[in-house]
Amino acid sequence: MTSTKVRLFIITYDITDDKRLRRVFEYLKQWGQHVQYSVFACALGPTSLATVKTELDALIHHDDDQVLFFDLGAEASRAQRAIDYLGVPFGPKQRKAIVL
Amino acid sequence: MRSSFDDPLQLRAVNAHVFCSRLFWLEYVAGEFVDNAHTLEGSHVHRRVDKPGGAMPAPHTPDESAENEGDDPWHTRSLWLSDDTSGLTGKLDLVDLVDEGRVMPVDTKKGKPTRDGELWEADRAQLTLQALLLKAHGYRVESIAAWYHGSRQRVVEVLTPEMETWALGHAMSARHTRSLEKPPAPLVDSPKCRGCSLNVVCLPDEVNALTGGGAHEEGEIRRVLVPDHDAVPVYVTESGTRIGLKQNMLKITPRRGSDMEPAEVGLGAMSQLNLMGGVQITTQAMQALLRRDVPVSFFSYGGFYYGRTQSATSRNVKVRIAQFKQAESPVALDIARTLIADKLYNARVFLRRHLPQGPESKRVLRKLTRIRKKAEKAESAEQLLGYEGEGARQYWSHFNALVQADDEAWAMQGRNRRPPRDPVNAMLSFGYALLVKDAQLAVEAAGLDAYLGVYHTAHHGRPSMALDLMEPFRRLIVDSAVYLMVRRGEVSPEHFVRSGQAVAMKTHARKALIAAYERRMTESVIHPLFGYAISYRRIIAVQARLLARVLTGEIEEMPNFRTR
Ligand code: SF4
Repeated sequence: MTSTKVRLFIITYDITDDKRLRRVFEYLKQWGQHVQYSVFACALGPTSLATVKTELDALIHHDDDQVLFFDLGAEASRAQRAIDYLGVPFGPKQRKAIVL
Repeated sequence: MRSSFDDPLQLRAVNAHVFCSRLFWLEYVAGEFVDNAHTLEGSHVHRRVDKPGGAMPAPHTPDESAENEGDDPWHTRSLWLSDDTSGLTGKLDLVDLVDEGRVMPVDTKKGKPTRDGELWEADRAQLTLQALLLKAHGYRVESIAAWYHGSRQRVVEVLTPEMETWALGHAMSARHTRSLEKPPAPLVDSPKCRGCSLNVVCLPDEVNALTGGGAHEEGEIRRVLVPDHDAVPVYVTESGTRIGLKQNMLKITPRRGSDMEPAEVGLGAMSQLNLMGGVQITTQAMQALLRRDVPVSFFSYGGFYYGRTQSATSRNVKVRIAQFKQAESPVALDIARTLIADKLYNARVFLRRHLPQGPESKRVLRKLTRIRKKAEKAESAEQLLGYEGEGARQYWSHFNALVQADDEAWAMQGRNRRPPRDPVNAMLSFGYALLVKDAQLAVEAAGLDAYLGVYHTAHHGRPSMALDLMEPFRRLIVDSAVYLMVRRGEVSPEHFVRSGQAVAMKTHARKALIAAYERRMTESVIHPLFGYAISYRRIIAVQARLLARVLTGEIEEMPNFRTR
């Protein structure tokens, strides 16, 4: 069953080739926050999640690379509580309209 | 437009028909298609099998050919077959040679087999018909199979004569559904709807509730299936700003001397781009936005809405045909009556919430109710226009008093526009332009033509249908945002400039108004008819879809949107 809710995903990757690594990084940047080396936090609804998976799938080499998706749950409630940190503070970005 | 009973029928379509005849109709008759998680996964899974390869040997010449030596069993991929006798046509993902000239169609499916490890009915029907196509071309087929990508599992079934009759029966009833003028009713409480690619278009529970199908109690409707927005709108409000593309990010560079910060916004994380005034955008950026289906809307610096870009519109031609047929019909007047009555109703709610209680407020509330009741019985668009105007006069004088409170700076000279002559009117006009933009997106997503309304007359360049749809929402979204901004001191008189008669907002006021508008649009409200909590932006989308259904005749009356 697909949730219609937006969920927070931690996406991590291990890419064995520098050029592809760069590409995966550039690709993921558009979807959310770059948290650490090879770690992104992205709030995604079902359609976006499927898009990300499909498009990333075409970027990586299946025998050498790996991308992992950790589902932290509904963004508004559970995800916020699921995260703790030491050192530099981290909190998922609030989603709201960008007015420039 | 109308297809004849005997036109070729695609096997894929029969599959959809077995799943749900309404889905079949919406997709293959009305031409609706929505990319959602399921279809995206589906096409992703299919990409691998879609590369054609392997020549199909003639029937009765088993795998003695040289190219099928060794361990690699013979198979062929992506094969189109048609048969004039049965009128069936379809693409076969994969045909495996079993042995001695016997072949087996294998279809790739996302997801998993049934709980019992069997083929889903829809897949069985499709594969059986594939087998019949192969047979019609002289092959021997004794079994069918599906490869379920979700569980990476191949499920094989023996083909029986009963299955063949059964599958042909489904093809027959698909032909029947294809000849219907209106879609079959939605399924009732079916778990299928959740995973259905067209649930956003179909609105099964809402339509059933409104047509009496499925006999829902009030408040018993499942949560609307329209997904939350995970992406956010982006507004660029300063002239001279330049927008370019850098990889998958929009790079936004302020003009020289501006105190705006440069910014980078990811294409994936944005739902719409709104440009105000002389913002420059490169072709590369425009193309990337079109590819991602992010609409770009253009406004003048003062907030006049010009229109928007469009990549691929919903293809529901039936909706547009119905819309044009119904223009100026009693149905159009019915809808207009509901929209204007709701507008008057919600205006009254706004005043009731904010006016201090007393004989004066009682008087105007009573008056608005009376006007609304008259509007509900209006016999022509002209009459309706009259009641709308009467209600507006009542409303604006009180709104004026409310927003002005005891600060003369916020006094309105009635409702005026083009150009607005006081700060409050400047904010209202700007806010309505934002609302037109969102209403137009909703209307077009529902397959309607934004420029032919049911109430507002078609003027050059005026998105009448969007203006119609937003009537019930003006007070609740824009007026309320403006009122609260003034009340909370988020704007002050020095955020406006006067030139001659006209008053315009300075940057701060514009940004604050957009933010207030967006807060309102994302706020959760309870849908008064369906009982679930969704944002105003999604409610507008749902109302647009329902309006389209009234035009096509599926729903009899335009459902109200009235807050409490
Ligand atoms: S949402 Fe349900 S009723 Fe509507 S088309 Fe899909 S499966 Fe059929």
